[in-house]
Amino acid sequence: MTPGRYRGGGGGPSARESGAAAIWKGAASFAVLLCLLMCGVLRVLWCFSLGSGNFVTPVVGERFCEASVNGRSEWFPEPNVCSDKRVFVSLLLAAPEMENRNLSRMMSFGISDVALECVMGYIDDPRDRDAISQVCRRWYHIDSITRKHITIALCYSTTPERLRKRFPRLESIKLKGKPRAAMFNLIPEDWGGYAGPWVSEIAGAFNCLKNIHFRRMIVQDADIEVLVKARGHMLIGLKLDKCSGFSTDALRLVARSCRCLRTLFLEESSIIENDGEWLHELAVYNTVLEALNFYMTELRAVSWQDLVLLATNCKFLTSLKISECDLLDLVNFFNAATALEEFGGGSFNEQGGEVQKYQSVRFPPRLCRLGLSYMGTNEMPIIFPCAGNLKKLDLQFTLLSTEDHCQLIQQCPNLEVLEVRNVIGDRGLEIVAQRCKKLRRLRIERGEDEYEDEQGKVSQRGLSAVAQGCLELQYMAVYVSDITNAALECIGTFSKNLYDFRLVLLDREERITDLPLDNGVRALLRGCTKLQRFALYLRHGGLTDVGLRYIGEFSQNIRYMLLGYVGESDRGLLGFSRGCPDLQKLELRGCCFSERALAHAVMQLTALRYIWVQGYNASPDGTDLLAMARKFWNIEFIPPQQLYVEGTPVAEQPAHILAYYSLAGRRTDYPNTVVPIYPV
Amino acid sequence: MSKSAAVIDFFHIEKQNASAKPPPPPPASPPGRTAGAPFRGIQSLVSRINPQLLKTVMAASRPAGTRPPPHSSSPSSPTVVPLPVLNPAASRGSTAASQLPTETAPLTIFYNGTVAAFDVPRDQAEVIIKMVETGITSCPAPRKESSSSSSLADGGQLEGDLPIARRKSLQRFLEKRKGRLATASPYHEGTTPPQAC
Repeated sequence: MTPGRYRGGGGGPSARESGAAAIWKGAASFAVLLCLLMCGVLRVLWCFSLGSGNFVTPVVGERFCEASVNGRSEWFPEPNVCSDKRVFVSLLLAAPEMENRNLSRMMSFGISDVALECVMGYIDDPRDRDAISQVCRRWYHIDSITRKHITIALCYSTTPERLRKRFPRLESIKLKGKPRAAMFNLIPEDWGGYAGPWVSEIAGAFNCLKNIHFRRMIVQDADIEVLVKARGHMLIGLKLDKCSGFSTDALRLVARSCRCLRTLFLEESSIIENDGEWLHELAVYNTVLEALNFYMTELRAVSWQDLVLLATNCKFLTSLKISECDLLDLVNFFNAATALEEFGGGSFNEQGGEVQKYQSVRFPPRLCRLGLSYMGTNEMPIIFPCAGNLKKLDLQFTLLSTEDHCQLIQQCPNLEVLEVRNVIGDRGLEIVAQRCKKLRRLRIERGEDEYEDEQGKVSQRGLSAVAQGCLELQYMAVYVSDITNAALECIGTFSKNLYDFRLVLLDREERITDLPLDNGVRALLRGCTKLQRFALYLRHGGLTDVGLRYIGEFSQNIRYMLLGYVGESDRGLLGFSRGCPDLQKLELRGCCFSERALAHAVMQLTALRYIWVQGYNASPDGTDLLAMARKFWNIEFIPPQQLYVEGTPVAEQPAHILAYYSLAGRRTDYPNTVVPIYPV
Repeated sequence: MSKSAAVIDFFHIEKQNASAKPPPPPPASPPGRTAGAPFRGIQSLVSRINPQLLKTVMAASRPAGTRPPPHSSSPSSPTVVPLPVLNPAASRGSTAASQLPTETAPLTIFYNGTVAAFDVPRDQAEVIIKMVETGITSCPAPRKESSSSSSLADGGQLEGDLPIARRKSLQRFLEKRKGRLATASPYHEGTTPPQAC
């Protein structure tokens, strides 16, 4: 199943050049190329061919394309389908009479393999690496053995064996399982994403692996046991991020066996809690831990005394995020953890009663990233002493009013990351705009449907203020109650650094000031040229077909999109799909498109490798979806079903379609709730 | 919203239709929603219903215009006779399903070329049918709204209004906060309780 091989451009006139001249020409070009590659500018594919019948052709078995933004990478294997875009610069060097040794020297332009390895070691950008690996076999091989990190955006897109063959010396791996919609309770728990097969391969083969990150996957105790037995002595970082299927027994094993562990990350995982021993063992056996995170888990049996022990033993502990534990129990911990820079979680269980009970809480001096759960108005003053140092503030899980937000943010001029609910209101955002000039990331989540505070609504007023006040903004995700085209134009004008923008229009207000948003969206997309991730979730009438076409037309660099309730008809989708040259991952929700239009759009979007759709104009039997059936393309259908959230039934979920490129063939671990679609 | 109903073919109409056209591809109906067991009791009840009464039930209960019967070749127009409202609280609102302790499932009744579909929990379904059996015809028809009520008046624009999904973490926080407000002590007068935010 080789997706494709490239043959060299043919002998031609170059075959008659002398060998020496070819080498010099090659060396000079190589030097130039290397410089350009270092700058990450040139995407080059060189073809070589040798007259003696020795074909050295770029092997494009698996092309892993990675989008790397701010240190976060997204990888996806990409089979060589004909519709891929490539930039070809063909430089032909041929010397039929050369022997193999000279050939290899020529191939590398006089640079030895060792040197090449050193050079490539400096090149991290995955797109550059991708290009390098296609130059020739040798470069492919060197890239293979020098690749340190990979992110596989969907674990079913490839197999563990293929990964091992491609990159045997990986030091760090990030795997994602369930679709993103799982974070919103939309995907059945048993959908898949089992870590088992990957763990087996890791245990057997990846001898350099030090960092493992599983996200939205099912990881069992047995898997962790295998992992720890094989790699425990070398493991530096273990992240079980929004995972499920394991228990505190596995954590105990990790604590006991992984003495080099510097990062243990369990945020939002569903963990079966048998006891709190794992934390005790971690505190006893580990001295190098830097970051511990069991935030948003339901672990209750942990003892705050073990946290104190941990702080005492681990002098480098800089980040701790925990489940609910009253802050008064952490006073000793905060005194002991002198290196702490980040804290999240905790709880305030003694609110009401005597005032200022929490005054005894003193945060460590270096603390600059903070998020306190259930903090109320009365307890807020405990933050004031360190407010001036705060770079990151998470108020999503607090009980503060709009006024409280205003008061608090007023004191945080150094904020770079702010996460709040929409209770912050326009007023709070105006203060953010005034005070937080260094703000890079802003997330405004959705609070209660009945507004928590009468001022607790975010609208065009707050957005415009932030756009104009915080010019460093790179990430903005907002749930708004009202919006205008002018606000979006404002963002397009001022937020030139934006690479990730997400807007959700809440459905509480019946009347929205200014719909449709066609012009505003166009202005935003044209203005924010660095945009790579974009989400727009509106309502009926929020965006016409013309507006949807604008999105396609003006999203040059966007690789991920979530669109909800946009467009009016299939025509809009088809117009959209004529654009989006870089779109790799598309999520659609609540749209009116037919299966035929969806299939057509998928075929038209040249860079698309993953699509998820829920809420569409379904046909009675789904046959129209087969129009997008093709090689390497897996199509899954999750029929409508009653979903349960922690035991209680929620509204019945309509069907989903999930389709993605895969080199692994069809899944073999489908649950009953998932139906694969393929032509018979 | 696409109602993938578990259809109980009481009168074997489907089988006759199915033999006439090619079988659909696999994902035609959710395999996990076999409605065999819970509906056998209802099935036996339905089979004992006076056909005349059944006709009037269906005519009365079918909401106007939203679900044109797919099989109707000769739509009969019986006199509209209202049925008692069983559970007024549950018959309205978008969370009808979640208010009831039992799981809801579609109840589709085929009769004489006409069809009506309802989204009811099992006990309610049995009650409805029992009432029909005993022939109570004096009260307004129960309106069964599914959780995603949508008007398909715009020419089939949408399958149904999907509620904006909430992130799991926030969902859990908001529920816990409600729990905290519920258990907040009423005895501390002078302080600001957590709900004043």
